[in-house]
Amino acid sequence: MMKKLEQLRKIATDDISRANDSKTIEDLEIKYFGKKSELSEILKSIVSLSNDEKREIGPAVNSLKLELFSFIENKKNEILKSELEIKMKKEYIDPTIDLKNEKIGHLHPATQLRYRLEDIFKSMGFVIYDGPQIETDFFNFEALNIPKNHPARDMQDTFYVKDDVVLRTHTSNCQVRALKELGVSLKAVVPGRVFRNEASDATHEHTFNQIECIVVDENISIANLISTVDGFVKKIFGDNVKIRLRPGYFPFVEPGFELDISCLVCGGKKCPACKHTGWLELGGTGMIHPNVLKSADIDSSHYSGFAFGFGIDRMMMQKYKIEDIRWSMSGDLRFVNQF
Amino acid sequence: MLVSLDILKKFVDLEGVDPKEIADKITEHSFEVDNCLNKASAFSNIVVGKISKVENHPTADKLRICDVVISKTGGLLNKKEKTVKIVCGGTNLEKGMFVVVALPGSFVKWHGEGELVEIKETELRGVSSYGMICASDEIDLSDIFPSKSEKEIIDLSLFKNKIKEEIKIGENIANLLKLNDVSFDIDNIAVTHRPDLWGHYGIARELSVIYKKDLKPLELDDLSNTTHTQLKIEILNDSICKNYNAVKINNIKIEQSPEWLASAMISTGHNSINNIVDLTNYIMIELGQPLHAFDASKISNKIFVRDGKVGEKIKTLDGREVELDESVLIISDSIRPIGIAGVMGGFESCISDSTNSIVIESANFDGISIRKTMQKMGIRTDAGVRYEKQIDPEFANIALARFIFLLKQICPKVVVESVQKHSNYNNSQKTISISFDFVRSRIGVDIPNLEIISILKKLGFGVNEFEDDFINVDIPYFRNKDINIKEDLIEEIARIYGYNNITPARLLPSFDIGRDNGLRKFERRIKDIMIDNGFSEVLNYSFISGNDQKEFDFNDNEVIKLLNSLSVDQDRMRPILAINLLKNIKSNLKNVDNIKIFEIERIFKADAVSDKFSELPFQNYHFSAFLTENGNNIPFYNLKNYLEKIFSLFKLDIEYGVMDEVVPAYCHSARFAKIFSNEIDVGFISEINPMLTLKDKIKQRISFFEIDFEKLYESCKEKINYESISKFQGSYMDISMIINKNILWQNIKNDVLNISPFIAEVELFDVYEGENIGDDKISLAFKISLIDKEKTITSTIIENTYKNIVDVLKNKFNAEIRQ
Ligand SMILES: [Zn+2]
Repeated sequence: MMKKLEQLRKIATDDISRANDSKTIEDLEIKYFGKKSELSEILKSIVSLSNDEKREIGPAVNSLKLELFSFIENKKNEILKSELEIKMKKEYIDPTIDLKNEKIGHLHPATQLRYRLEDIFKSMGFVIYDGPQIETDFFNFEALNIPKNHPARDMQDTFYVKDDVVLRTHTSNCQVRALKELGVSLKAVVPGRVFRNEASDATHEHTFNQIECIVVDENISIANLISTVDGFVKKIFGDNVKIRLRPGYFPFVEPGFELDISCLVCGGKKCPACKHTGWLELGGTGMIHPNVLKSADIDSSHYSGFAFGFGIDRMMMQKYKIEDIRWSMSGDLRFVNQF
Repeated sequence: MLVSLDILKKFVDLEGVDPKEIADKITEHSFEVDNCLNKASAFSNIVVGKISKVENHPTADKLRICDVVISKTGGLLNKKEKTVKIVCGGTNLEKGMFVVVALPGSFVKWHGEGELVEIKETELRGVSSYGMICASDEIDLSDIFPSKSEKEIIDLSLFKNKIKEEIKIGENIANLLKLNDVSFDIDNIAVTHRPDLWGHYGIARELSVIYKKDLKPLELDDLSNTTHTQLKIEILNDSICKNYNAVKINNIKIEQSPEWLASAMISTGHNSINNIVDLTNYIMIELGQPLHAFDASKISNKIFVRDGKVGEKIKTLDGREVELDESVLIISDSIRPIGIAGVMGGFESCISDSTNSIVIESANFDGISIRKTMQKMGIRTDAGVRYEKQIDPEFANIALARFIFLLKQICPKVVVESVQKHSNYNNSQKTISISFDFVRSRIGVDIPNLEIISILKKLGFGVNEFEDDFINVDIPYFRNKDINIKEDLIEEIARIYGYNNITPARLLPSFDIGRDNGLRKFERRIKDIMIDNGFSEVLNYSFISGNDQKEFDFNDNEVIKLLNSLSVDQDRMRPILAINLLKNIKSNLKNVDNIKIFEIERIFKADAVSDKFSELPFQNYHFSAFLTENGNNIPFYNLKNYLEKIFSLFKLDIEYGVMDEVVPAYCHSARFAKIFSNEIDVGFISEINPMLTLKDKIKQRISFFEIDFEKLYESCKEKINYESISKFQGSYMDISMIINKNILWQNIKNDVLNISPFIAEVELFDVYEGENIGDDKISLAFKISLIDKEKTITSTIIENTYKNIVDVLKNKFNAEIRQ
């Protein structure tokens, strides 16, 4: 009997070792472990053996069964793995193939910049304020110390809807609105669309986006203005960028300043982009004129503040080197989808 | 406006200071200087040459090869000439001509445009060329040497009258033309608020403060040595004419201007005409006060300043016939108008070479009136622009005294009659009180009292009465217009102290960190969802045309028209976003055929709406999106699906209105649904009426929606009712049915949901239309989820619910249930 077992071990081991595909190994599994296999025959025959024989043969059969079982399992895994290996090699794909069924949309670059500016101002504690685009003459001009016949009205060619209703020429129309609605202390920014009645060309549009920043509180000084503007400019353009204030005239501020930043192209070393001055004009700023505070019923002997405003579109042109601003509002996806 | 450094140097010592630095300092402390034009350095290596030979170019029709003598030294016997060959395309080249030669190393403006280009020795079509023969705009001299065409080079011998000396070969052009002055180019807007800076003396004052130098006083005639006059003036409108001085001066000799005066004219961009005209212009550029000179022999002895009359006419200096009326202030003699006050003199009374006596007018006119007159006439003159800035009336007195002082220097024999004056203006002293502490706190810097006083005094302010930290500041006449309040003085002190010397001071930190703007936040989230779903954001103009309005069938009383528009294509405000978005679709369809775009911006309607502060036209933000795909015949459903993603994210309770709605003309009449959010009408979703795209040959269907973004936002409460999650297993059932097409799914769904409390959700998963089920039928398949929160749902409940649903579908909607 033991001899028979030994023989079985040898044949089975040889058979299993020789197998090299999954079909053969499955057949061998049936052959050696199936109901009609030699091993089950032997197991069945054990019942008829004497106790002594049982004690000897029983464990030997079991041990052989476990041994063969583990052997065939290992072999089977080995074969499955190698077969899968081969199969996967045949399943190659071209990972560079494009199937753009679902495309992502694109946010307009002016909106992207606006979001960025809003986020920076929000992080500096500013409220985002919004106001009408068709505006009364009062909020767009009168309240800002620009009475009728003031030469400054020439500087802002205005679209009129009625004699005293205009398309706002600047986001400054919200200065007095925000002060009246939110009161002091005020830290607000107003991004939005403004209009100028002048023919468009590659660098000018009759419709563009501005952002206005307003701060009113007790004892606000020019030094505060410089610090805030400098902080904002560094956040948006980088820590290396310097600012320069120089006298500038806007009727709704006193004193008024032109705000320059060091040239983003040459860093101030002078180049064609900055017309060899080392500086780029960013926008206008100044201490809010007492007459403007008065329009909002705020006591200018007690409160002071500053405002600054600049064009988002010009920043967009500089940032992306856009050659013609008229693409911005063309609705052409060849433009928008680049951003 | 051009400012001459030579004139400035008459009043303030700027010897040895780099002109560029002066420009920078003015920009830093006073106003922006656009450019510093240094003619002497701009003309280095640009010299006089003489053409000694002209030949045709062997291979280029339009080019000539010239021999040009560019230097000549020595006498008759040992003369040395240097001749070079220059290839040139000038149309008027001739042998013997004196020309302007830009030698290698010089800089010119190519074709008169763009940045300066350095001239190098070069080859032109195989012939070497040593420099360039210049046309006037290539070296920025078109003022002095006007040319008929771009191809015409400067023929110096034609301009003998402008060149006082003999033309010497090899002489530098700047020397030849005495262009050794430096001019500063200033944009008029930069000094629009400072009438005193429209004259050199005012700018010299600024420089004297910036450089801490003395300002030389103006030398004036004391007007004491005058003779009796017959001249009389009568001012009939002295609310506009606030100051009027007229004086007759005899023994005048009209001549060429002396060199200093002619040079002052050229440096400031004026033509030198004759001594008298130049001197009136000189006073204007020196002080900012316009003067006018009449030929005394051509006007009567009485001058009136009065309103014009309808029917009156005047021929002005520029040769135009101008019709007058009562809105225009004029100068007239006893017979006829002789000038338009403050704007332009009359042609008939102007100075000529034979003039021997003159009447000088030095007057002040109201800026607003002058501005209106100029607008009406469609012209802007140097004089008018200065009045428009509201120069102080006092200047008129000073300018006359200055004119006579200088006139006596260039025409010593003149006889001045006594001055006729009339004035009506308030010349009382304006004083502003200000405290040192106020100055320091507004600027935010510790400027010492003495420095504050010193700055103000240097600028010409009177400072007195020290008292408890207060000073009284007297405003000089030349700052009367622009200095009115304390803050104006703050600017004066701070700009001279130097804005860039101010140490930045942080705002006190605020703990009220940037409150959110709900609508803006909503806008961002919506835009993000749209982008994720493949929609690109476009921005369109707020304008439409009359044709657009007609095409979209809006009434005139709904649409806002501009009173002044740039063009008929953009002369009214858009009442919906869809109008311009449809244009975007049409133009983009030329490049691609699957398009998904959206816009969120304001629209405008004529209905007035009141807010807290004003009554203005309706101008809510709208939200519109368009979708079109090649081969997709009902893009409506795709678009609606995207919209519903938004509705479900914001938990909006949406109902569609289909049955009784009036469909706008631009919408497909059978593919339209109004959208109600929490019962508020927020807009609609539809398909563009294919009629609108018929003539563009667009066959693709275009779905779109137009939603009032602010109403949508208001309806959106984002209310989340959390329910505990059932521990028990639920169940699903599918139902498929055929019903009449005109039954709304929305109604079926609502009814089914109401059948049993165990029905948690009803979701459509298949829609089919086809001939095999009949034209008026639709097949709908949907999944119903059942859940019992208390226990695992029983088969009895499932069966009963199913039976009830089928009953409702059959009885109420006449559905045919498919098994
Ligand atoms: Zn640069």
